[in-house]
Amino acid sequence: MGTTSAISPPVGAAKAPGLRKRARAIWRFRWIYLFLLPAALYFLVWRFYLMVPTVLMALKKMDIGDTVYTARWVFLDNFRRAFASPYFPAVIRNTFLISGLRMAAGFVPPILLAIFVFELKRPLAKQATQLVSYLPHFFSWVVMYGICTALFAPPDGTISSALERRGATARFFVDSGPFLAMLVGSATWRDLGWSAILFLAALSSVDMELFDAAKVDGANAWGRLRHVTLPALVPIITLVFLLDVSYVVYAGFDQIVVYYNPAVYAVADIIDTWVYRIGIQGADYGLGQAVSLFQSFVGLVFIYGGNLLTRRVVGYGLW
Amino acid sequence: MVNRPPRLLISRFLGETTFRIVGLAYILALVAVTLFPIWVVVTRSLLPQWVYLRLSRYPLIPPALSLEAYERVFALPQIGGAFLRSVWRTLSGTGLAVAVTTLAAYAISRRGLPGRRWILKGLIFTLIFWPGLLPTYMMVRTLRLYNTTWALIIPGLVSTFYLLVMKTFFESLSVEIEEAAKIDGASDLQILLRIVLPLAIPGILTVSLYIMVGHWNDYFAAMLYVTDPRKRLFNVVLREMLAAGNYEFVMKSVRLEEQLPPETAKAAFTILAALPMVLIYPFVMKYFTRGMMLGAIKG
Repeated sequence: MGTTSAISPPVGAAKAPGLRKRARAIWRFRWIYLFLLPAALYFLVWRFYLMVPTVLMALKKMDIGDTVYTARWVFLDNFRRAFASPYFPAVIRNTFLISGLRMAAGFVPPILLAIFVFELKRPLAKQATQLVSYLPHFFSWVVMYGICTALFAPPDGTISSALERRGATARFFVDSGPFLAMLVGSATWRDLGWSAILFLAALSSVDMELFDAAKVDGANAWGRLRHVTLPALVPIITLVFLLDVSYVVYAGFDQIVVYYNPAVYAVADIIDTWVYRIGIQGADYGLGQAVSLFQSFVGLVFIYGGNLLTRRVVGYGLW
Repeated sequence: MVNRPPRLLISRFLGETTFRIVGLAYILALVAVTLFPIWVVVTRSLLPQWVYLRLSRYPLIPPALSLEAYERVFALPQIGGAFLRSVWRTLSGTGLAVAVTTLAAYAISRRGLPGRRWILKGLIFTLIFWPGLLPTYMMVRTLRLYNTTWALIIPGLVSTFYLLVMKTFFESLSVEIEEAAKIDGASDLQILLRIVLPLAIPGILTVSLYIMVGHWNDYFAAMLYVTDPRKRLFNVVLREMLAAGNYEFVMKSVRLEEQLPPETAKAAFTILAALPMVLIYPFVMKYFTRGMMLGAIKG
């Protein structure tokens, strides 16, 4: 029967009574521990134990029928093979390129949307805009792919055939440039409204007095923008920017794995898709995991660096 | 308005107006760009076959509409079956995840819990280090979960992030009612069920909706773990059909005259995949914005 919270033992109590107090506290919370049990089992198996194969797999040569424990040790050989692979430089370049493009395209529009929606007078207009702009975020990447094929796929793509009629042939699913444009463009389209939520929330928590003061000082709308709105957004913008930078090695795998095809591997192959091809399709677990570990390592460097930078600029970080 | 030089008032007015025009233009452009692709797909899915046969194209403003594509598409065994399997996966996966996560979050939020600090440290560890695709895949195969719904539910069952969100939520609920109940002799389970849960419903609901969207919209895990053609999920079937550029493998059994225009079939599939989440998202917004506003007000 759970009753009152545990009372801390008096300072300097002897060890044996302290142990009994501990045991009693555990008994008091026994139902709570029961509630914890399913999640604990999950974490133990799928998050903690699996860290062992995560490391070991990269150091071994896994042949068919091998487990992580029966396979042969090759130590850093998998890493050497990965770095020597002709795919390696292209994959790294693609990962950073796609992340960079996504950031470049997707950074400013949500901020603008938040600013303008915030300034809207009528609540109906505000709600309607938000309702429409949040909608695409709930489309899966397969649905997005369906939309993009309807727009860009020959022979019936609405936009692709309109372009063709004007002489601008662009094979969106074959040529690198158009493919990247479609990839990044559709990603921005999908998440623009949703990304604006954070900025909108930040603006909503600004003290209205600041706006009144600006008005009294004679500022027009642009002055308000410069002196109240944008400064209020600087912390959250910095945070979002540094978060984006931290996750640069994970360049939107979920979208790419739906959109890509062998014709565009040259630009669309990122670290995660390469790991997938090596490890799952190619069944070379050792090599795939070596690449994956390398990615995690680089990712950690970015996350840690990003966090340091955030703390220096804004004063607080992720932790 | 205090005595202000007319020059300043005019500049204020001009600035205000241009700002509003720019803002309105931006928002309208955005709304138009957002709605256009959706319009294209929706009108394609509603195009009657006879219109397509007459025009040989998919007009942006269809002269007539018909639901025949949806009727025919959903009746196909591969599609209908895949859709139902996806529904089952989403509901059971979400239900289990929410149950486990809520219980654990409540437990961790209990302040006097012995070992609580270590538990939290462990959770932070899982935020920083996590197993990759390959070890997880290997585990699924080892545990013989391959080609079962479990493979889609278990590996991602508890998200540390959602767990922490819920924990914070539980911690923010007032303590007094609980203490009163404890004094009255209620058990932990009773407290959870009768007192805490009713108060916690908004938070739990928000997280549940996010998890549900994650399950329904998932493609990669379903593609990876369920390859048996009789068991495949909806997103996987849809993607294959879109990528193949044709849908003959689905329509093989249908006579030529009865076949739908290709883009209409694809569009109908796409809308079917999107529809459940489109129907749900207003509810997500209701709870989410409420939560955001609360957070904003509180500080």
